[in-house]
Amino acid sequence: MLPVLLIQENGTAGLLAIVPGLAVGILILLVCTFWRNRCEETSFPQSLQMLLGKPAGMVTTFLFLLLYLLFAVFCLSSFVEVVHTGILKETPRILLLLPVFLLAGWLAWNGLEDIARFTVLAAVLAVLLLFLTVTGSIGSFQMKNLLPLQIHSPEKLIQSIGYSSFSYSMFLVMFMVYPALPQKKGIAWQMPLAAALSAALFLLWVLLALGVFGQFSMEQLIWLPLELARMIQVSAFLERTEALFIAIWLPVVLANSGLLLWAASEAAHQLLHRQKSRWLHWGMVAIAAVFSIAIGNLLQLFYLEQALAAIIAGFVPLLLLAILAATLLYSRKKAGRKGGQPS
Amino acid sequence: MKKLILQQPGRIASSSGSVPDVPVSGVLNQDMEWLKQHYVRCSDLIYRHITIGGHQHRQAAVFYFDGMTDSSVVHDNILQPLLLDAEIAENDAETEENFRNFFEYLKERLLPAGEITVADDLKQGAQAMMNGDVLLIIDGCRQAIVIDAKGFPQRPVGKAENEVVLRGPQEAFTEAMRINTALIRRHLRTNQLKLEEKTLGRYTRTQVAIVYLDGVANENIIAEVHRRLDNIKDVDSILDSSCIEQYIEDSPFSVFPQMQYTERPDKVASSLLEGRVALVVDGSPDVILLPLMFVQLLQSPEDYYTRLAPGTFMRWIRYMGLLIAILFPSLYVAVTSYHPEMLPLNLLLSIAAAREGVPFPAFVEALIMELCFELLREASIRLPGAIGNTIGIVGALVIGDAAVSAHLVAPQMVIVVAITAIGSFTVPSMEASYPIRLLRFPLMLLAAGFGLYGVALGVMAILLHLVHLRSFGFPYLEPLAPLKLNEMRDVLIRAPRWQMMVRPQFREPYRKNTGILERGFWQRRVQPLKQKGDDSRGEQ
Repeated sequence: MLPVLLIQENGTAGLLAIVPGLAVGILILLVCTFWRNRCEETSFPQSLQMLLGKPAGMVTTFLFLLLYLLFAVFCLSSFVEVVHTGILKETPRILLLLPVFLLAGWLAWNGLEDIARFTVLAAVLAVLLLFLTVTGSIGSFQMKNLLPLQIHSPEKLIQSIGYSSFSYSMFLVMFMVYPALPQKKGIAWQMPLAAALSAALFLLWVLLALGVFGQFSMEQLIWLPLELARMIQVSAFLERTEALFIAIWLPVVLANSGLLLWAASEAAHQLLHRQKSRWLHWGMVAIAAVFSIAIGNLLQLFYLEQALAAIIAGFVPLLLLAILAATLLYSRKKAGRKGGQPS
Repeated sequence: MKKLILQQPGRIASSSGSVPDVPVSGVLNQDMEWLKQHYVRCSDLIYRHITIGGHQHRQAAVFYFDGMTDSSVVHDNILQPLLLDAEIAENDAETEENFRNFFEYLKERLLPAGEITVADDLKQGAQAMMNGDVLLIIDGCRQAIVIDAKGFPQRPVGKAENEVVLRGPQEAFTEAMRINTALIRRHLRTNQLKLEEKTLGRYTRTQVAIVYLDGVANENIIAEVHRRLDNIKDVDSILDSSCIEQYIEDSPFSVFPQMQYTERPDKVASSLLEGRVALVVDGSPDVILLPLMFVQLLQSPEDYYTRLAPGTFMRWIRYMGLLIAILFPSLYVAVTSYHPEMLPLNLLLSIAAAREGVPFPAFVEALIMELCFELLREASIRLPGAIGNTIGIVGALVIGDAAVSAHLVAPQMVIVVAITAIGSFTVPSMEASYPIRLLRFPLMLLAAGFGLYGVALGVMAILLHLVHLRSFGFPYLEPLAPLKLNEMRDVLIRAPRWQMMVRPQFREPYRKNTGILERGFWQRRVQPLKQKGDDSRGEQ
C-alpha cells in the first residue's frame, strides 16, 4: 500500500483530484508491462542504454536512482515525522529515524524474495488496519462528503493533482522489479495485480478520509493516518488508539521503503556494473539516512513533497512517453531483423 | 604338524571391501597381543583363549567388553557351542579345504547368533567390540568373526515426559538407536521406510540413522543431509542429537531453531509422511526432524487425535499464548509508560492506584519480575523432582506476594508475568520456548525506550529475520510467507483429516496424492502414482 501520509493542503476537489493520480499509476504500469514484454532479455538500466543511447541511458538511470532514493527518504521521513509529532514528541527525531533506516536497508539487502514475503505479511496488516479504521470511524462517515466537487482555486486543484500523481508515481519501482522476477507465468501477472491491490487500498483510505472529514477539513489536516486513527472509537472502551495504529503502519512503510531502497541499490549496482556490494548498498542507505536527518521539520518535508510532485508531474510523463516510443522502435527493429533473416 | 594359515579368504567375503589397516595375521598369539596392546589399561576388556571342540589344532580367542555384551548370549550362544558342541573329527586333516569347511561350519552352523559378520581388519573388529559385539579370532585364519551379542544397559520405553498429550500414543524414544528405529518402523510398516546409517565422532563413534520415506521425501534434502553429515565426520564427539543440530543448521547465530526435536515415535511417523527427514542418534532420546517451518513448532500431535473444533480451538489458544508470551510484558510497559490515554479510565485509575508507592518505573518492575521468574524456572529444572515442584510453587507465590506487600512491584505486574509464563507454557515445543524467553527482554527494552513504536520496531526486526531464515533451504515462515493458501488449512485451522489429502507442496514430494477416500456425502478420488515395488499396507 502506498504510504503517502502527508496530505496538507491536498484535499481540494476530493474525488476529482484522485483521478489524475490513478491515471498516472495505470500509465506507469502499462508502459512498464509493454516495455518488459518487448525487452525481456535486459535489465532496466541496460534497456535504457539500449533504447536511448548510452549517455542518455546512464543519465536516465541515475535520475531513476535518485527518484527511488528520494521516494524512500520521503516515505521514511514522513512516517517518522508522524511518530514524532503524534506519539513521541520528546524523543529526538534521529533516534526514531535511524532504526527504520536500518530495518529498511536490511530488508533491501536481503533481496526481492524476502521483500515479497515480508510484503505479504504487511499486506495482511494493511487490510486489517483498513478494516479496523473503517469499523472504528464508520460512525463519522458521511456519503454526502464525497459528492460535491468544490474547487477553491485552480492553483489548489493543480496542487492536488500533483499530489495525487505523486502518490501513484511510486509504481516507477516496477521498472526495476519486473526484470528481477522469475520468468514464470504466475509471477508475471501477480506483480501488476499486487500493484493494483496496493493502489486500491490507498484509494480506499483517501475515500474514507474524504467521507469522514470532507474536503474542507481535509485541507487543514496534515497526517492522514493519525487523523483517521483519532476518529476510531469502539463504544467507550477503545479510543485514543492512534499510537497503536501508527505502530501497525510500520510494516507497510517498511515494505514500501525496503522495495524503494532495493530498487535504488540495484540501479546503482547495474549502473556501475558491480556485483552485490555491502559498501555500495549500505553507503546508499547511509546517504538516504543523512538526507532524512537533514530534513529537520515538517515544513522542509512539505517542500520536498512539493518538489517531488513537481518533478513527477513534469518529468515522469515525458520519460514514460520516451520509453514507450523507444520500446516501439526497438521492437520494430527487432521484428524487422527477424523477418530479414534467411530461412 | 605344520600350522596352516588360510591365505586366501576364498568364498568368505570381507565385510568392509577396503584395504585393512591392521590385517588379521592368522597367528593367534600375534593378533591377541595386538588387541591387548590396543586396549591396554582397559580393565573391562575380557578375553579368553579357547580350544574349539577340544581339538588341539583349533585354537581361538574370544574378546569382548564387560557390560557391553549380554553375558547369557556370550556363555550360551558362543562359548558353549565352541567348547562343547563343536563336532570336529580327531583325525581331521590339516588341509586348506578342511580349514575352509571348518570356518564355514563355525559361521553357518555352530554359532546360533542373530547376526554374524567377518572382519579382515583387526581395527574393524575392535570397533565392533565397542558396539557390544564379540570378536572371535581363530588361529590360522586371516579373518575374524564378529558375533552380535549386544547387551549394554538401556532405559526401557517409557512415557513421553516433555510432549505430553491427553489422547494418543504415550510411548517415547530411548537412548538406544535400534529401539528407536524399531518404534518408528512399528508405525510405518513399509519397505519405503529407509534407514541409512553413518558413524560420526572420532572418539564417540556415534551411530546416526537418516530415516526417510523413499518416494515421499525430497531427494535434494536427503542428499543435503548426507553432505552436511559427511562434513562433520572428523569431529571429536557427538554426544547428543543437539550436537549434530549445531553443526549442520543453516543459521547457527539465530535464536530460532531450524530443526525440530521430538521424543514421540508417532510424531516422527507423521513427519516422515509429510516428506520430512528424521535423524536418529544413538545415545539420544531426541530425534531430529528437518526441515522445519515455524508453524510446526506450534503444532501438537494431539491436534490430529482430536476432532476438528477442539483441535482448531487448541491451536488458536497456542497462537494466542505465543503472542502473549512475547508481547504482553512489553505492551504493558509501553502502554503504562507512554500511552496511558489508550486505557479506559477505570482501568487507568486502578493501575495508577496500585502503582502508587512503587519506586521503580514499569520497565524495571517488569525486568525484575521476569528475571525472578527465569531464575525460579531454571532452579526448578535442576532440583530433584519433588523439591523442584515445591520450589516452583512456593517461590512464585511467596516471592510474588512478598514483592507486592513490600511495594516493590505492582500487583498488575505479577499478573502480567504470570499470564506471560502461562502463555509460554502453551507452546508445545521446548526449542520454541527459548526464543520466546530470550526475545521478551529486548522487546521490553524497546518498549521502555520508544513505547509502542519501539515494540513495533522490535517485532519488525524479528519478522525480517524470520522471513530471511531458511531451514535446509526452505523458507522458515512458509506457508505464511510465501503464502500458500492450500496449506493454510493446517495452519489457520486444523482441517478434517479427510480434507488433508495432499502433502505439503513446499517439500516437492514425488507423490502428492495420498490415496482414495470415500465419505459417502463427500467423495474425492485421487490417483496415486505408480510406486516402485511398493508393498505398503492399506494403499490402493
